[in-house]
Amino acid sequence: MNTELGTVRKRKTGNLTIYLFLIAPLAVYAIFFLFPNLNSLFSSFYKWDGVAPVKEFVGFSNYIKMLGDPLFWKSFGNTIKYTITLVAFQTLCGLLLAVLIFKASKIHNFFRTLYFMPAMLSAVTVGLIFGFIYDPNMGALNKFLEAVGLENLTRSWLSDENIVIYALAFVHVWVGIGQSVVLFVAGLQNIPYDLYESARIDGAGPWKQFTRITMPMLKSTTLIVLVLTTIGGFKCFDYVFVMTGGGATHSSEVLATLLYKEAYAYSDFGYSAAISVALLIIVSVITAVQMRLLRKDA
Amino acid sequence: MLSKAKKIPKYAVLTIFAIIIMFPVYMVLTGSLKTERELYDNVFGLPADPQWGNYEEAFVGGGLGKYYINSIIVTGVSIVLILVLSSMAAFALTRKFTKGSKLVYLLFVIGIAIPPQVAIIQLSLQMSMMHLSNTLWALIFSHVAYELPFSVFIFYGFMQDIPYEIQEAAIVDGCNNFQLYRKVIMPLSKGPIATVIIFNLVAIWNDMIFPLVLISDNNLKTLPIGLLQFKGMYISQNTVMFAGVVLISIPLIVLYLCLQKQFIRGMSQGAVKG
Repeated sequence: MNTELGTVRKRKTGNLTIYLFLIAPLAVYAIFFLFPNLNSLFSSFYKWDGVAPVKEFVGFSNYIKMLGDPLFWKSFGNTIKYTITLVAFQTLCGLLLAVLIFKASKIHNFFRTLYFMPAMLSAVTVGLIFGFIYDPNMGALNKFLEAVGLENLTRSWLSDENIVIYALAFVHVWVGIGQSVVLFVAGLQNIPYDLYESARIDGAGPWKQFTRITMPMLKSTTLIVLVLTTIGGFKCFDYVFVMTGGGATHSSEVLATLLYKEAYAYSDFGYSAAISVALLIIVSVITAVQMRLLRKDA
Repeated sequence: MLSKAKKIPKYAVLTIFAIIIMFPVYMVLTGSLKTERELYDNVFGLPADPQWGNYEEAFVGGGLGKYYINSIIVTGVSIVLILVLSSMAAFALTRKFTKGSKLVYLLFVIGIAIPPQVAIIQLSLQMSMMHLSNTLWALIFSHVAYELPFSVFIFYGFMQDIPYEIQEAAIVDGCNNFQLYRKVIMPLSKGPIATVIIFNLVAIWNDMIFPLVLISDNNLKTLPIGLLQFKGMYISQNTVMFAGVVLISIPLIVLYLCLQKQFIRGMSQGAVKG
């Protein structure tokens, strides 16, 4: 800490400005962020239908209800399926594409710009577009399958209970792939070129170079991509809400749509809050693990 | 270097992914100019006779014009407030005037990891208690509060690295803290300012979750929620819906194509937020 004795007095008066600088941001943050989040935590210990003037304290019973609620577990399972699909495709395809285009050139830059473009679109827009693509009668996907002679693969993508959650996760991949490409490209560009040079002199082939140099050097990038997509998967709400609303018969219900429904459709605000706390805990644990792993790595 | 023959599979892979990414865009652009019948019969082809009326129908009949104004107000005001508040907070916190500043910083950045879904119900109840439901202010305050953590994080990281000598010199020259912020630190912070603007522009323009729970008055809806209504209203008119999709998306896409580097940089720093 460098303190300069001469300006200590001056600094003291100056500190008032500093406090003033902090008041407005902290106030907005406290009122519209911290307060509702804490309230969410408190509400999870109450039973409330959203109308009654008094909330009834029920202790942990919302959490106990949650652990025994098949719909919660179904939504949890769907969230996991969605997340695994998202993480697998976004990491593997992202890495593949990044390896192909990480060297700076006009054509590589063109592909990168193109892959990243869906990130500019609103989830509503994306949901409406894919809602149409997946439409069983007029949708482009079934029309395409028919045109190439794969009629037996055509189906009702968003109402087939076994398919719908993966169909939704694919939409998320479509939007997010550019993000992982960009992150991997940045990671690849940071690997010193000399490493490959000396490996080649030592007679290492492309595969060996990839497994011995690229993969270890990309460890922290890969970790970031894994964690970001995992969190993105657990938070998923928008695409599901727009395209299926959690249907058909809850086969695409995820945690975020369930907590929304418990409050607005079933008027069980306390239970909804308990689910949101569960979601928060899951996301926090993933973030904490990420921090730990990254620190170890650095 | 790779020989020509070896490059074929590489470009095949790149092209296949490019087609997967671009097909929906192509489908929407061409579909927005087709008749409903044409879209049904020939989803892959070009429109025979461009139906510009679909755009008029979306803009006027669908009320997108009205939603456009709301979106511009909400996005614009929120971004200005975020810029001012987060840079002020970061400036104050990097002064390290007390031990508490580290704690306040932590309090801010903890918010990066918390998704809006967690408190969205409570937020909407709180807004109606504060008589802010169905006002654009409800959206603006929510966006500002939720985007502050990331923006403070970006400004803090940058301002921390500004050499102490620069600030020292300014203080010796008689700058007070406000002048130091306004005349010295902010002009240096062009990079983080760009990142914060770009990240928030995309996030707020496209957001659907806040307007979904905070706004029910049709006159106050923003573009994404306005477009969502098309699903019910124009259930059989996908062409009009596509025109709406184009109208909503075009401002950001055009900006992105003009400023790709800045967008990609801003958005990938924002990725930390997921």
